[in-house]
Amino acid sequence: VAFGTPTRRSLPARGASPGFRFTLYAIVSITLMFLDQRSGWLENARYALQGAAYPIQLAVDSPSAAWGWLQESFETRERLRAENQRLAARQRELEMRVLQFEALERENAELRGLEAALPAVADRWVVAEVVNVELNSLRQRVLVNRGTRNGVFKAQAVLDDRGLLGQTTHVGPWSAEVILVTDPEHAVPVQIERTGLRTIAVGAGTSGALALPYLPSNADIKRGDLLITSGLGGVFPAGYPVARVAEVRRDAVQPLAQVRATPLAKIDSSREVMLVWFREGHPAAPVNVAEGELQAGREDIQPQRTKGKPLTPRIESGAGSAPLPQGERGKKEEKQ
Amino acid sequence: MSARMREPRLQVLASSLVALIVSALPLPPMLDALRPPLLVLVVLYWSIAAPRAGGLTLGFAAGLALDTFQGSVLGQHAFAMSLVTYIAVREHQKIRSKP
Repeated sequence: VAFGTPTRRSLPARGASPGFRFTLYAIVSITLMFLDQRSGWLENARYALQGAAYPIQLAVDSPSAAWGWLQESFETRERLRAENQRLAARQRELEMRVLQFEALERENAELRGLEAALPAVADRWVVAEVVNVELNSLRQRVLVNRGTRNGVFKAQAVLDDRGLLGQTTHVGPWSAEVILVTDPEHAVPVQIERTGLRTIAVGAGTSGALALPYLPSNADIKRGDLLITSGLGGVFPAGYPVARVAEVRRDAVQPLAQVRATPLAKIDSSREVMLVWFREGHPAAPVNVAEGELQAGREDIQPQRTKGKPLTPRIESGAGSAPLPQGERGKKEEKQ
Repeated sequence: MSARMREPRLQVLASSLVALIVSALPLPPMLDALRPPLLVLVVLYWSIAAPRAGGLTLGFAAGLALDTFQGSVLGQHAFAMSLVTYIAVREHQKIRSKP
């Protein structure tokens, strides 16, 4: 009789058999994958999961946060004073530059025949702290501690004090995942500041490089050129600095130039980033083409939409609608 | 299996949580390559040592947690983890008998 008993009758029945459960879970997870990939239906589920995961992520970050706090509280008096002095000097320098900038802005408006200078495209911003970092060749993401409770939405531009850092992808109630410009899945529409040539910068997967894969080998680009956002694509406002060209390789065999650029933002070391809301209808605001699948899912994490009439100051002469966005970038860059 | 032991559910949950935290800990890239997939190992251990305490549900939940943390397609790790735990739970007596 013992020979006849099946060997695989191990667990006394309590609930469903493992085989049945496995089939069930497999079906559930494949459905999840399909729904998550193909449509925005799971936005709500992700939102809830991200909210649930946030305490654990904070716990993960706590050792380094505690270390930073300790270091800060044991800083010596001299070092603090030195830092204070340095910051004061920097502050003076920046104020000087702001003065100069305002004069330039007025002059610029006059030259273009406008009655008043345009307001800056960034309407307001929120400083967020980086909680978790993931930097490898396949994924370049950071997690920041601001979410929908602070008004953060999906596909929001993220900057640091030097340049463009990335945009938000998954937004939770208290946290948001930021895909960096160097992520291989990320692309920024850029413009070469010197020539105005527009192209696309794709992340290269290392924290120090962007690639410009779509430039013909006779394109006018050289080492040291500044890349700024072009305002196309519906996410980033025009005129923010992104990267500086580090290397241009032209191969006689290949039709495309191989261009690498280093991002200006401190990709792997910034602890604080800025989430930016842009002014609706501003000429330098992103052109709204982000319709379609981006609009699916939760109501309160939708990308910002430009609605209403464009905000153009009156133009004195009968020049019609002068191409304003082109001239905007000089000013923005000055400001950074 | 006549002596009915209490299922170590608390230990299972606690150790899985710790493993999840360790697997989410940011490490410098050099060490990152050497980091073992601790959550998978813990879930595997429990599905062999106490297949009824966590079992497939634990595997699925752990996979879903990994998906959330790593931002991958929802269900990707969940599927892989339920497959691994399914095999482990099904074969746990055979595996346990071999040292």
